[in-house]
Formats: sequence, C-alpha cells, structure tokens
Amino acid sequence: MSAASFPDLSSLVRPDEGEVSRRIFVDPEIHAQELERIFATSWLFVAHASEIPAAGDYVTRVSGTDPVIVTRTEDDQIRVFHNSCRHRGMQVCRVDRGNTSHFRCPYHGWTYKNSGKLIGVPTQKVAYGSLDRTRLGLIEPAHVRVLHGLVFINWAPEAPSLEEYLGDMLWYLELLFARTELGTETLGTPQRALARMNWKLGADNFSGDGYHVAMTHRHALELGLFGGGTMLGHTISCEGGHTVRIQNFPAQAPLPHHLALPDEVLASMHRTLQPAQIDAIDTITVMHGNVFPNFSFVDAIFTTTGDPDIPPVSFQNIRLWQPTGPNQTELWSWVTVAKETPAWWREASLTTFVRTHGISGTFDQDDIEVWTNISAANQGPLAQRQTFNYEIGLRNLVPDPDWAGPGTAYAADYNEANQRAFYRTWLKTMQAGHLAGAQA
Amino acid sequence: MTAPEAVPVDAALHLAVSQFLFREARLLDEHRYEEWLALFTEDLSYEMPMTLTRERAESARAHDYDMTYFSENADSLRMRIDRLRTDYAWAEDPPTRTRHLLSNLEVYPTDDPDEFTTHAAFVVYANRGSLPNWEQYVGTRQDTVVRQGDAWKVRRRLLLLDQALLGTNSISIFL
Repeated sequence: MSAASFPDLSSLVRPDEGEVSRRIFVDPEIHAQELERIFATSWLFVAHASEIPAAGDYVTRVSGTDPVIVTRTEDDQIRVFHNSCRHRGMQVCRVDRGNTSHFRCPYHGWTYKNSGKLIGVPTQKVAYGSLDRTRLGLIEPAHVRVLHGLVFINWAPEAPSLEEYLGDMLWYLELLFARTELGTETLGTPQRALARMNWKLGADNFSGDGYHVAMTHRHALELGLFGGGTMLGHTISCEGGHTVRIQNFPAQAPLPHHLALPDEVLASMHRTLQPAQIDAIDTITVMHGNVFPNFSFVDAIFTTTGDPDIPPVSFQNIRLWQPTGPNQTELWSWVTVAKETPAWWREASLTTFVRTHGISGTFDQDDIEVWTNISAANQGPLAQRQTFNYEIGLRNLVPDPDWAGPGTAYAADYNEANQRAFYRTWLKTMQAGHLAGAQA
Repeated sequence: MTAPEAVPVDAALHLAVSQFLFREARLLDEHRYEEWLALFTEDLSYEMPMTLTRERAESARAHDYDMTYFSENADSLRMRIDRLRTDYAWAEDPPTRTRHLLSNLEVYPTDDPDEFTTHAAFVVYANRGSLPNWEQYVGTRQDTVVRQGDAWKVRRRLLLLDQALLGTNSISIFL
C-alpha cells in the first residue's frame, strides 16, 4: 500500500483531544488494515472451553474473517485450526458443532486427524510418488491459550503471552470468570446475528459508555426493570486498551449485594477471590468491559424480568464483535455461569439475559438500533470529514487514588476515558502491529 | 410433536382455527399488541430456540432449547408490550411495518377435546424506514390452541427459524 493512498491515522484518531474521525468506521482500506494489523496480531476469543467438554467435540468459529475449528483432542488438549484444506482450501468442516476424530475434505479427500495432522491423501503413492504429509497439517495459530475457560488465540509468533497482554485486566476478568473454585461454563450455544454496523461501535459502548443508559435504555428506567441511572461507579482503563465500567447502586436504593448470586456461588467466591475483588462487586448494578480488540462482557443484576415469581438475578454475557466488513458485524453472545450455580438460578439467569440483553432483548434492540443508524449516517463524505466527540472527563476528572484494583480508575460513571484508551490502543496497534510480510 | 399418521380435524374446526390464527397475525401487523396478547392463555409459553447447522446424522439436535431467541411467559410478553408503549422503545419507534404470513396449516386433535396442536409455515416480512427491501423471518411454527367456549386462545407457541445466523440486526417484533 502506498503511503499516499493510506490516510495519516494519527490525524484521524486523536484520543487525547477527544476526537475520533468517523472515517475509521467506514473506510474499506482502513478496515482491511484492521484485519491485518489488529485481528492478525491481537489475542482473539474463539470459544469457551465448556462448549467442547468431551474428546472430539468441536465448534466452528471465525478469527477476524478467517474460519477456524476449535476442538478437543483425545489427549484433552484444546486445539484451533484454520478451517481450510491445505490442498485447495475447501472448508474441512461445514457445521456449527459436533464430535469427530477427523475432518475429511469433500473436494479430493485429504483427511486430517483432529490434532490437525494430515493422515490421508487418496491415491498418494500413484498421484504424488512422494509427499511430505508432515508439513501439510491444518494451519494453527501461533498461540492458543485457555485462561479461566476462555479460549484465546493469536496468529503472531512474536505476540506476548495472554497474561502479559491482559496485564491488569486479568484482575477484572477474574471477577467474572474465576469467581469460584470450579470456574464458569456456558449455558447453551451462542446467539448470533448479523448487524449493519461497524464492529468498533459495540466495543466502544462496552468499553464504558455509562452515559447512554439513561436515554437509550430509558424504557427500562420507566418500567422499573433496572436499577441503573445512578451515576455512581468507576471507569477503569488498563494498559493495552482493556477497559471496565462498574456502576454501583446508591445506599438509599439498595439492590441485593454481590449480583444476587446464589449461596453456593457466594460461598465458593469467598474462598476464591481476594477481599478487594469481592468488595469491587459488592454493590454493583452492572459491570461491563472490553478486552482489546473485540471481546466484551457484561454482568448485570435486574430487579425484575417481568416475572414477579423470579427474585432479582444477574447474568454473565460474553460478546464478540466479529467484523464481516466495514459496515457489517456478526454479533456473538454467550451466557456463562459459575459451575456451582443451582438449576433454578441458571434458568432465571438465562431467561433474564434472553429478555433483556439477547438479540431480541429489550436493551439490545435499542443499542443495535443506535449502532446501525450511526453506521448508516457515517457513509457520506460529509460525515467522514467529521469526528466523534470523546471529551467527557477529559478536563474535569483525575484518577481515584482510593480505588483498590489495578489500572487507572476514575470515580465517575459518566466518563469517556475508557473509549479514549480503546482508540489509543487502536491507533498504536494500527501504526505498529502487523504480521511479518505485511507492508507498512 | 404430532405423529405423522394423526388424523387432522374436520373442515369446520380447521376453518375456525385458521381464522383465529390469521386474525392473531393481523393484530400484530396492526400493532394492536394488547389485543394480541389477550389471545394467549395466562399460562402461555412462547419459545424460539437457536437453530444450529448440524450434520444430517445430528439433525435431531439442530435446535438448542437451552439458548433461545425468545423464552417468554405472559409477564415477559406484557413487559415487552409495556416497553413499546413508552416513548423510548427506539427500535420500534417509528414502528417496523410487518406482514405475518401463515401457510401450510395442519390442525390435529389431542386427548383434550378443547385443545389442538397446529403445524404451520410462517414468513414474516419486516420493513423499516426507507429501506427498499424486507427483512425476513422464515420457519415453522408449532402452536397449541385451546377452545374456551366461543373463543380461542394460544397456550404454547414454538417457533423454529430456518436461519442459524439471524440476518435482521436484532429482533424487535413478535413472530
């Protein structure tokens, strides 16, 4: 790519001035470079280990825009493979999930063990004479790491370890995914939908947009479904562009403590988390965040789901903002619970998710309405000369010295420091990061 | 699930059930949600499980009844309708124009003389704003309908979508 045709990103993305050009949400060239520089070099979430509990279990997923298979081998290793035959590129697996010991290509019959090894080439001796099958196994990412049940991959050999990459963010991920001794598992399969929006709009929101709740989700405040809108809480930015927002309920309008978790989970949590971590989720209404680039999570308590027989519960939801083009994103949405969770609570938690934060959820409908209409309004040349404004907290907030957790925390629920951190990392990664062979 | 050898109801009953279901569909298209909900029993269930792409040998497990797009009862449907009546249901204000089409209707008796199971194919066209094309929801619907004197009610609705990856941004309408 010539320097002349590619925009100067540092003039488009100026987080320290609270300005981000709308062009980065539309431009096909910038989008192509995101796939190359961000998605091919960052740690990407592909599955939860509990989705493939038995040997031979697999699910098919997408890494950036490349199809992958996530499988558990006979020796209980989670392996990830490019879902594409080494001979002519046919997908060797064309279903969402299943169980198999091998994958056979429908084109010429090359067959791979679920360890990725090429074990069958029809008429090999006649057709090839000799063929070194050992160099023709399914392509694997440079790194696969399962951390607290979360399966992450990275295609860059020189990538830092996942723990280094997450840094301070690990402390916050533990609040959700290492809350108990047994860890978490998913409930059912992920929801999926294709939305006409740029992937960054979802990551931007989940980074820490407390400001939109009182307007976008005002129906819930009117109907008394949600204890939100308190303006109490913290926004926390970690090195690497990873972010968390924690909102608290006010003392005069209390909700159940510790996300109304069931006794079995609370007992295990008190044996597992550090006291400061337990305190961090004591009086929260909602906690959400984003691991750069596109892994988001939310844990929220709801006073009611419209069902007076169900006491308040919370749910844990993992989001993936999977780009399928500058103006299209595949939304992936999982629900996880601590394995200690009793059956009644699992059901109530899942139902609460479906009704509020699922694809048909009363919250998500309105979020997606907003994000898709932003993308629609971004298309014109006039829009692309303009910027989005990220000035909340830029001049009036200083870090909270009393916050017990890691990262840079602000004692403010309305703050765009997290979004600025996200775009700062976006810029840095776009300027520096690329796989070997990519042109700067 | 009704056994394939089951004998359908007679023409008069078929007409009564089909007219009931068509009227119900029209109430949705006319955004008369409260009247629509009144056509369900108070112990209703309204489910739309995830559709999965599975190998043919695994076809029986092509729906995930744990994770659903809808998992509703009377209270939650009422909550969704109450939401539409606030001034802040952005995804449905302005409202989506919908056309609920129901076809291939089969009606079967059950052990209860006032309860019937139905199978039908549905296509729902949804159009918003100035978009020139329609979003579509296509699938099969299995309802349990009950006769209460002269009136009919839906007790159970199971919606099975023909799409594993939903192509409609989100779901802001009823099916």
